[in-house]
Amino acid sequence: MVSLSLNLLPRRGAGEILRQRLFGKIKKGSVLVLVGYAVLLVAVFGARVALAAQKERLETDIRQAKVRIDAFATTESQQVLLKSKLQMAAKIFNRRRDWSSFMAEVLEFIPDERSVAEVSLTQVGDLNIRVQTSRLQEAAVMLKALTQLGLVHDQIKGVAISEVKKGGNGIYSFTVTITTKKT
Amino acid sequence: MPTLSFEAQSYFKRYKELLLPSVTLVLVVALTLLVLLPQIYRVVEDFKGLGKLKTKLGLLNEKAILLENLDVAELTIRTREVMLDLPVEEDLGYFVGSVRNTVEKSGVALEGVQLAATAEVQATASAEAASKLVSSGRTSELYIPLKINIGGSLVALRQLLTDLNVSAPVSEMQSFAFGRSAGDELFGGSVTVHYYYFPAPATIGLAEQPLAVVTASEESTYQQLAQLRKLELGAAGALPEVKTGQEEFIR
Repeated sequence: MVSLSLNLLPRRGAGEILRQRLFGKIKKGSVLVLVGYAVLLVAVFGARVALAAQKERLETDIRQAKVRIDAFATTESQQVLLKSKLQMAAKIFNRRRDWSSFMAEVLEFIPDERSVAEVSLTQVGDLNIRVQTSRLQEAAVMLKALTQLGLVHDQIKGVAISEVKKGGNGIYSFTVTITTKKT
Repeated sequence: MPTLSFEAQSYFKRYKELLLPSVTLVLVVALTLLVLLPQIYRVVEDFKGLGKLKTKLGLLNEKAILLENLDVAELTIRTREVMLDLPVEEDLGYFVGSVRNTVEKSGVALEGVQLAATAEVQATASAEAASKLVSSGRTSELYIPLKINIGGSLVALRQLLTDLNVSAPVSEMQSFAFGRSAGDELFGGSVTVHYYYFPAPATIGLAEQPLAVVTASEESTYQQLAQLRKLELGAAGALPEVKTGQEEFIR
């Protein structure tokens, strides 16, 4: 037997049914979207309200904390003053040098302190020692020793001799300048 | 009332099912652009703002607790002590008194004290300036330069240089010059010393600023200053009472 299938619906009618089904689904979908969107909007507004309430609470807490801090204004100003003064003192202590010890170290190389006629320290940190001696040999030894000290001492940048003179009384006088490194 | 043509009526009938979805689409797009996106943006902003507020509250609470737990009596003592080491104003009388004590202690003869150079006296000493420097983390250097005219043996002069470094108030030696004539045992000359002072900051800043806690290195500086005061106090048990304006000592 030969089976024969016949489509009794006209082609346009089948398309119409499909269209109606599709439109029905779109309609239902749009209702769902509307409901979902409304829920989303409510959620967003709800979140804003909740955040605003939380912000209000935090601001109240902040005001209270500031009142607590303001009650200690005198204590805080003392603390600020103390800290600022300690910072400044530390800065000065860190750069201040013990010139007395440094001078003592240098004077050790002068065989006789009685030969020291002048000692000065300039603002840039140059130590000048004017020596007067009749023993030239001793002066030469001293200069050599000071030059060697300059090579090993961590604070000395250079050692120089200047203003070498011989007086009428046979006394030699010269100035030793010790240039120091910046702190 | 105008009536639709047959074609239009049949077209409307055919697509009326799509009316609601179309309106929904337009509504959703319009609401998203006009309402939802701005609201979401504000929620995000509010959320960020809350984070900042929480941080601020945390800092304030932390500061309040630190302040409440501070030993006020100890702090007051320390502040007073440090104010003797670094006075809040150019207290010339106090500085000169300290010079006199230090020089006397070292066994050097004091011949006079004078302002080293008036141009060097800082004119910017003000509470506002100090406050600005503190808030910017820098410390000011306000000082009175004093030229101390002295006489004595080289040993005594060296002792004076040592004593100047270990005496309160805080000072810094800038230069010196000593000399003696041939045959003279004693030297004469001068030492220029900067005596520092530091005005109290005009404001303590905003409440939100963290408390200026004394660090370990600053504590060590405090101990160093305390040591200087101990040396200065000697047997008397108190810092020398020096009245401001001992003019007769200034030349």
